[in-house]
Amino acid sequence: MSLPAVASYLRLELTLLDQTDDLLMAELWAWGTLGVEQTVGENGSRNVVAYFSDPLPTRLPDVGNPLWSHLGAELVRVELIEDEDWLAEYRRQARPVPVGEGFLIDPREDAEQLPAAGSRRLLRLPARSAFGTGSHESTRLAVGLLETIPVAGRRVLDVGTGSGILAFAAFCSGAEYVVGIDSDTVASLLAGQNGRLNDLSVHLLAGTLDSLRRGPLFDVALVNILPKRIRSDLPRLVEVLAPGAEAVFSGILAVEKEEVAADLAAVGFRHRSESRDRDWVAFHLELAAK
Amino acid sequence: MAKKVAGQIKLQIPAGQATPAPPVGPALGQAGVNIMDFCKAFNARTQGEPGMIIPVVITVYADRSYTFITKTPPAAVLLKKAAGIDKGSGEPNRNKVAQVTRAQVEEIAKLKKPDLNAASDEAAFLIIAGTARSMGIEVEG
Repeated sequence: MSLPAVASYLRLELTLLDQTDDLLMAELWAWGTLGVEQTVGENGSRNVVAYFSDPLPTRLPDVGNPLWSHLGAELVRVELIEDEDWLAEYRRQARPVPVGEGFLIDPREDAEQLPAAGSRRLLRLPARSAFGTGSHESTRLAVGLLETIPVAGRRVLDVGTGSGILAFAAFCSGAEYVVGIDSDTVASLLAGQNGRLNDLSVHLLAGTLDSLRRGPLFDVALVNILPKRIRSDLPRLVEVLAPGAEAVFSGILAVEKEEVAADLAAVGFRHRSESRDRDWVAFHLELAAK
Repeated sequence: MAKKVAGQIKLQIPAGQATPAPPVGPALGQAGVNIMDFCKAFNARTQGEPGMIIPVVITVYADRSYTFITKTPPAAVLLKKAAGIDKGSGEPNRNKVAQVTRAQVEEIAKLKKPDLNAASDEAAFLIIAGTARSMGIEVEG
């Protein structure tokens, strides 16, 4: 079960002629490269692989054009590649991972044998291009805090649902209903696949908070999104929460903790508790009664 | 005990914009790294530098775990931006004269200093000014 390739890219392979790749890099970025990889060949040659969107944003000089040697490089080949399922190798090697007190996440594809979950609830979330398959600190912190909140019978919103992991965890904890939303269409499709795979009836939507009806629709909010991405949406989030709603915010680096806490306090969230795993922190908050 | 290193991957990607698409996908995918976890961590650490090109060195261990360090943006990229010639036509006119001010070079030198082998601010300035000259960018004043 996989999604068709939705994009293709031009891959340029270059060999450096000079000690420095400064000029070449600057030109590649000026031409609109999506990013570059610097590698060393078996013969010790220094190579650069640059990717461009297809069709090209600009006209690039062909193989043999003297401009390349002017930039200290030789263009070896240009090929068209399709976007692939880049996490296939990770899935092949990954192992099920316990998350929180109550869950076992299996990020593999079609496991020959389902892992023994014991007293934990097994969630099968094959790792693809949607975030949240149990291996990241921010996911584990969010699930850990979610487990301290009485979710049973309450209405839960998971913002930036990714693989759907937090939405599924809330549903398994007895929520009345759960809505997972993600601005990345591919993520919401993958979350939908995961919901069917685990037979969980969570509502998974592609869109922003603006696509939700206004009003106090939810009692619990789960947010594992980088703070700078959710910041401008915080007032909109508060609008769809009931007075006294609880929230888990994760994906916060410890170094930005104070700044994020201030932003959350400014829209009415009161600090309840927090937890930390290496560089990452997560907050459990409560929305002041309006 | 130190973990066994399986390999190192060097990329340049825009700050806060890592996605599972190329170059991150193919480079980290074949190393068996959880690409989505890397994107989250990279974007978190670089989200405060919008528009910057960030070189990143990722060390992958035998157990497929990884660590990464980010570096300062390439000097030539910063100089092109400062000179206003950071949008390419595909056939750039090599005779076109671009200029940056002394203050702009000082600013770039300050930003780049952690990655430059420079004993002083003046030495860092001279390195960046040298890069500018090699690119045909004139330093005013």
